Amino acid sequence: MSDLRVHKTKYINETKRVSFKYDGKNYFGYEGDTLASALLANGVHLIGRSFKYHRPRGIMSCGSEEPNAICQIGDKKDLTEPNVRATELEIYEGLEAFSQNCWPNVKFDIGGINNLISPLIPAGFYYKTFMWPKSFWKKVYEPLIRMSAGLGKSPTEPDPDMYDHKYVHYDVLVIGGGLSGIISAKIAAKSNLKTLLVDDKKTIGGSTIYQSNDSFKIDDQHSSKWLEKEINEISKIDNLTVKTRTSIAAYHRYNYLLARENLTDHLSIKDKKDKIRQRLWKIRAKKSNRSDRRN
Amino acid sequence: MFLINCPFCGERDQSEFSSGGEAHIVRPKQPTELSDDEWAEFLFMRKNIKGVQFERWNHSHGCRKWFNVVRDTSNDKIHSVYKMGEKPPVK
Ligand SMILES: [Zn+2]
Repeated sequence: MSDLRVHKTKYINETKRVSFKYDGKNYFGYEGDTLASALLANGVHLIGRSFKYHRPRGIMSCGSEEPNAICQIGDKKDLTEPNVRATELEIYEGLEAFSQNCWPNVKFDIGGINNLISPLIPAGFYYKTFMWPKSFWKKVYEPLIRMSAGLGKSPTEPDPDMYDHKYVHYDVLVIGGGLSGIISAKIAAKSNLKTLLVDDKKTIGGSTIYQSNDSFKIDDQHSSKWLEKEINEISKIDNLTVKTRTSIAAYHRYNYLLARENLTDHLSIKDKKDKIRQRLWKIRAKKSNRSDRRN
Repeated sequence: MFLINCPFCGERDQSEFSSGGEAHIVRPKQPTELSDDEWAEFLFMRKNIKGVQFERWNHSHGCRKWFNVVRDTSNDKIHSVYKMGEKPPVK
């Protein structure tokens, strides 16, 4: 494995190898890796192409804000999933991922030719330019454009997986389990309010949980150490529920929110068999607090 | 997806209710004496207000009773709820 990996971190289990396929090639990472971190550790940087000129794109971020590392997961007709961010996907044994928006493949990309001739293409150019002559549209232009411009493939057969949904009522819902989310959930719960804390990652703690050096200190301790104690403390509060791998998808009137909890997506193909895949949470909160750092 | 405080059952999800449209439209005393236009006016013409509106709601998946609601149609905020026959609150 290449030396790009930061070793001996608490969140990657380097004793457990996980093999996966990316664009048909075998790689391996470790338990706790996202697809993005596993690809970077394997020296894979080119993961997609820009939509119009098909310029090469690499991984930019480490979460749901990722604009480039967008993948197609699986190639089965009923379960293939487009537009999955590599930065959000935990790798599992048997994962098959593909780059999107490139044809015939990510390294040699036919749309990239647009890039070479881009000085000749005006800024407002769009694929509509290909409309003439009419007889060429159905057989020549459209299939070519679809192959070179497509943003992923949708499944063509019914989804065989099982899903679940649940209604819940809370006094306070805190979205985002970073430093401020943890503390506000703690304050709410300690004030005798039934509180729910949700985070899209597999553990709460946000980015602070990775800060173990002298530049990031709270109360004269490394901020990760300090936060670990807080996390341990809130896990003992009875009227506080913590939901990880759960992302809020909608915020409706009267504090009605929808969340998707990922139950088995991160498990190996063998382990997720016959289990519920995702749960839709219909949350009615009296008060809703966004502590999400991206907003 | 808002909550409605049914005067008979208490606060429930909107999905339990069905809307009966604008409230306090008085049925003409002598329908036979109306012209077609006047009758159509009574049957179909509604104010369709953007803002505070008086409307009827039915708790169709609950107590099945009718009652009145004062709702701001632009943000679904419910200002008050009162029973049929009760005096509407002044704006
Ligand atoms: Zn009722």
